[in-house]
Amino acid sequence: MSQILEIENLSKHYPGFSLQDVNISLESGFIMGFIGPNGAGKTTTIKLIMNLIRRDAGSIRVFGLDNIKEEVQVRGRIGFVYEESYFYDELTISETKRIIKPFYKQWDDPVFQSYIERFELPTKKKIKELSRGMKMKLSLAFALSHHADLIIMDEPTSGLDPVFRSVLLDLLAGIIQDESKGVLFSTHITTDLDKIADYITFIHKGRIVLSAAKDTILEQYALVKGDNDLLDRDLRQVFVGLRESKFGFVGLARDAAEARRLFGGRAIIEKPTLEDIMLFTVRGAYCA
Amino acid sequence: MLNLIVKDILIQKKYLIFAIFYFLFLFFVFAKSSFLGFIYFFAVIATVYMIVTTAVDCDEKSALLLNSLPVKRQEIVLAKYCSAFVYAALALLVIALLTGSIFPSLRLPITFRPLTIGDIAGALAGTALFCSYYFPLYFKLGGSRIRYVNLLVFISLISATGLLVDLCQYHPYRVIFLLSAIRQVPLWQLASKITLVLLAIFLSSLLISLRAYENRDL
Repeated sequence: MSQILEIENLSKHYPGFSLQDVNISLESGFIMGFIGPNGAGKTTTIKLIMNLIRRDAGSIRVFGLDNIKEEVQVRGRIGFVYEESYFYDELTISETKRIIKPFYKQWDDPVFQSYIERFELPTKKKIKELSRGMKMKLSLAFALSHHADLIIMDEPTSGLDPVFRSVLLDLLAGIIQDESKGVLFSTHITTDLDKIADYITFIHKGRIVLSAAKDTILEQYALVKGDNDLLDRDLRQVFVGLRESKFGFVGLARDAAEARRLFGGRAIIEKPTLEDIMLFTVRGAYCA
Repeated sequence: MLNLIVKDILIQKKYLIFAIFYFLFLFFVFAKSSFLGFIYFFAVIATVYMIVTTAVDCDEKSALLLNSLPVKRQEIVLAKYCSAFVYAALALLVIALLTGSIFPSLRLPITFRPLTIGDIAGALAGTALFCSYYFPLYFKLGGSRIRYVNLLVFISLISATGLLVDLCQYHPYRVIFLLSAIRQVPLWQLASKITLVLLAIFLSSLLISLRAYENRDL
């Protein structure tokens, strides 16, 4: 296994938003889920990896190469899928392929054709005539047709029907069978990641909240449910986020072992989902 | 870079076809006017302007796609400048075919003068000037904001034309003096000086565009 993506102390400042000291590391053979609410900095980070925007500080190495100095070589080995379609509206799928294909040394026509057939894409239709789902499928076909070693996806599943979402997840699971490849999958639909992600990086307000193996994260945190009278000032400190209502409380404890010790037998302690972790971290303490 | 030029031609193919009809319109409307001497020049510049400005509109939206492909930004900038000259060359080729071969074979009642070296030089110089003004602004500001600048330049050009007419009308001796001074300079010397100035403007524009696009956040 080799490091396929290494981001160190990455920063980018905009008026009103800053990405600060982002550190991410992904080994080949794994899928990393990149989660966070809208505006957290996921797309900014991906744009920085793709060298679409200039970083203020830090370093990004992809396949061990600097993403700016070796940008052509790096991008040649990346397959990208963005949330929106940026294809030329007036061109057909065939014409779009004619434009994109020559840029990739490893372009594989039969593979592209197989995806076109599998996704039932009409090659003679103009891009502007395709539905959102079709455009996403086309992006995916392009991303997977040049034997990319790193697939970067920015919210690829938002707006897709559950059937194609499932197809996409199966495809990613298939890609990762080849242990030289890696996937960075940005999404706020965390249920997709419950199924396929090996690692999770959670970003909030431009800072990395956590970045670790998914199973470790799910075991580290605990969801505690109990009566309100169990809570006092000290016990509240155990929680990353706490939701209180007249029926009781639900809180996300950052240390499952500590939660079991403090609440064992008096409250229900469950394994949280990624959505629970994201929701409670973002919202903190609040009343329902 | 060739891929990028081919891409520009592909996305603009309908405007290229439209340009041929535009030429026919220009030629027949201005066939007997005093503009005939400049008609080929105007046809080429109008074509380059139309195709370049509509192409950058498409590119603005697709900038993220283009810049995510394995290609350097420098190449994208260089290809844009080259594409403008490819459009100019194509326009000149179509004009040469229309006036030199197609129109004569149709035995039209109107005769068109053949394309001259002067037309070609003028069209290429005009294209260079247009690129020099347009692309640095495009690469710095982007497609949406450049529309306002274009409008301003267009209004300024119309005003400048009016001022030029006024100058000729009210101060003819100054214009005559200027033209006589130019005529006294040998043609090769004049051509070399104009070429050098154009080249300096063009290269400065290219450097500004390269720098602006390199530093732009997409």
